[in-house]
Amino acid sequence: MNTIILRTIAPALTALMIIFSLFVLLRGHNEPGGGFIGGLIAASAMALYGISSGVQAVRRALYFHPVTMGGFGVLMAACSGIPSYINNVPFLSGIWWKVPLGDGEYFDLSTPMIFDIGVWFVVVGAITAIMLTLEEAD
Amino acid sequence: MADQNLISEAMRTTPTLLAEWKILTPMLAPLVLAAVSLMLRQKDRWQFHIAVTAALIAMIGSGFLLFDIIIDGPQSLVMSGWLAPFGIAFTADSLSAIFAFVASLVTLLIILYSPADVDKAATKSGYYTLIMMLLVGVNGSFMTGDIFNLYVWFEVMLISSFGLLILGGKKIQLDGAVKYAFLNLLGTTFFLIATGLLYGVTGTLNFADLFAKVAASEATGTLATLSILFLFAFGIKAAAFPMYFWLPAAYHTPRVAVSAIFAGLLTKVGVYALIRIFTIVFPDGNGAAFELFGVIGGLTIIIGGLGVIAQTELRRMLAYLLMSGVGIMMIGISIHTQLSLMATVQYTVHSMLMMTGLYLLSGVIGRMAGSFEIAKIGGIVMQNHFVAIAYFGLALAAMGLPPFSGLWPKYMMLMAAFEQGYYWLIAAILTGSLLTIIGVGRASIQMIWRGGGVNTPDGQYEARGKRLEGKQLRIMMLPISIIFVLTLWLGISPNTLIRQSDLAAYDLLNVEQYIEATFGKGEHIE
Repeated sequence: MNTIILRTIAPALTALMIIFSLFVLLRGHNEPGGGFIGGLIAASAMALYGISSGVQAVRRALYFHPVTMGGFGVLMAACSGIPSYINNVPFLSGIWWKVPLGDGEYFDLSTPMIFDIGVWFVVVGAITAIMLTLEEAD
Repeated sequence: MADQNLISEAMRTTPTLLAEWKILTPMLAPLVLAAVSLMLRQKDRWQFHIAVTAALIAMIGSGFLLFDIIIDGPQSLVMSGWLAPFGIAFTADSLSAIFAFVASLVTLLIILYSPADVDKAATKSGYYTLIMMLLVGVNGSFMTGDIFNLYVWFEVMLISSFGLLILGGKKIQLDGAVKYAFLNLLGTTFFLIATGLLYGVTGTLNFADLFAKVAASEATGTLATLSILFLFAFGIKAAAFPMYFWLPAAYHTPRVAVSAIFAGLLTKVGVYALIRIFTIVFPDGNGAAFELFGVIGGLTIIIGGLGVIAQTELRRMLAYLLMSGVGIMMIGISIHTQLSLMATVQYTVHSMLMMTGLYLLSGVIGRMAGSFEIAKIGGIVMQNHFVAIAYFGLALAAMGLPPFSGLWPKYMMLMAAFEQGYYWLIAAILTGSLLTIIGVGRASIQMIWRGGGVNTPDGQYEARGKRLEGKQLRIMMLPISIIFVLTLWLGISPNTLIRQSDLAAYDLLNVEQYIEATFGKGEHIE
C-alpha cells in the first residue's frame, strides 16, 4: 500500500495508537481494558506501520526482536507472583504499594499491574512476530 | 467485623510457608527459564545449559515435594489467597509427585542427549524453549487440582508438542503433524465439552469439591455419559485402542530426541488424567466405565502387540510397543483395587523410563546403520558392544522379563486380575506379552546379531552407515546408560518403587486426605 496519504499519516497514527494502548493497559484493573486488549491495540499499531512503511521499518522501530519481547513478557508475568513470597501470602496474590507523588496524591503500584504489563508484552511480541513473518513471506 | 468474617470465609488468612511453595517449582522453574531462553534465542550455546538447569530444578523440587507428601500427606496451594473451590488450586498427592519427578528426570536425560541430535538452526528456532514448555505443561497437568486447569495445562503441552513435531519442517513431519494435531485437537475439544457439561451438572470443577458433589448428584445418566466422554477424550491422548491411529503415524517423523520425550511423557499424561478422573470424580465408574476400561485395555494390548510384530520400521515398532503398555495401565484402572492401581503406577514409571531409553537408543542404532528400516539394520554387536547390550537390556525390560523393571508391575497386575477373577484380562496381558516378546526379540536378532542388512549370509559382517565418533557416542550413550542402570535397579531391587506406588494407590483409593489438603484443615465451607 504505497499511497502517499497513508505513508504520511501512518507514523502519527501509530504513535497515537501506542499511547492509547498504554492508556488502556493502565486503566485495566478497575475499568475495561488490560494487558491483552492493550497489547492487541499496540500490535495493530505495528501492523499499520508495517503496511505503510514496510517490515524493515517496524523491526528497526521495535529495536528488540518481537519474540524476545514475548519472552520478556512471560518472564515478567511469572515473576509478578514472586513478591507474594516476601509477604507470606500464596503465589500470585495481589500486593499493592502506594507510591507518594507529593501533594497527598498516591500512585497505586501493584503486582497485578506488573502481570498485566507482562501480558501486554506477550501479546505485542507474539502478534507482531506472526504478522511480520507473514508480511515478509509475500 | 462482619466484613472480616466474609473475607475469612472466602480468603485465606493464615500466612503461607516457604514449604508450600515447593509445589510450584516443577512448573515455575521451567516456565521462568523458558522465558529467559526465549529472550536469549540467538545465544545457542546457553540454551542447553538453561534447559539442564530448568529440568534439574524441577526434578529436585518434585523430589522434595515427594518427601513432604510421604511424611505429611498430600500438599496443596491455592493461588492468590482464595479458598479452594473458588481459587485455582494446585494439589499434589504421591501420584502427582512421583510422576512429576520421573517426568522431570526423563526430560533432563533427553536434554542431555539433545546436543547429539539437535543442530544450531533448531536450537535457534527454540528447541530447548519448547522442551521446557512441554515440561511445564506435563508437570502442571500432574499437579493441578481442578479439571479446567487440567485442560489449560494440556493445551500448554499440546502447543509445545506441535512446535517440536514440525521443527525442521520436512515433508514427512508435516504429514505426521497434521494427523497428530487433528486427533489431539479432537480429543481436547471433547475434553472441553465434557468439562463444560460437568460444570453445568455440578457447578464446580475442583477435584476435591467434585468428589462430594458428583456423589450427591441425581443426574446419574448425564454423569455416566460424561464419564464416557472423558474416557474418550483422554483415551485419544493415551493412545488407547480405537483412538490410537495418530501415534504410530506421528511418532517416527520428528528427530529422535523429540520422539523420545513424546513417548516418555505425552501418553502418560493421558493415563494420569484417566487415573485421576476415575478415582476422585467417578470413583465407582458410574455404570459401565470400568468394564469399558477393561475391554479397551485388553484390545489395546493385543493390537499393540500385533503392531509390534507387523512393523518393519524401528520407531514405528516402538510406537506400538508403547501403545501395548498403555493397555496394561488401563487394565489397572479397570480392576480398580489397591494392588492393580499400584501396578498401574509402577508400570507407568517403568514405561516412562524404558520407552524413552528405547527411543533414544533407536537414534543411536539408526545413526549407526544409516536407516530405521529393520531390514537394513545389521551388525550392531560388531560395531559397538555397549549399544547391543543396552538394546538387549531395554528390550528385556519392555518384554517384562527379569532382571529388568518390566517384570514386577506385570506380575502384580496379573495377581490383581487373578484376585478379582478377570481371567480374560490375564489372557490378554499374557498374549500381549508373548506378541511383544516375538516382535522385539525378532527385531533384536535381526538388528544386533545379523551381520548386515537382510540376506547377509551367516558369519559375514558388512559395515553399514557411518561409525560414530567417540565424543558423540558418549553424549548419546550417557542418558541411555542412566536409564539402563535405573531399569536394572528397579528390576533387582523393586522395593523402593513398590512402596511409593503402594502409597500412591492408597492415596487414590482414599481421597479424604487429598480433599482435606485442598480445602485446608477445618476450613471447608459449604
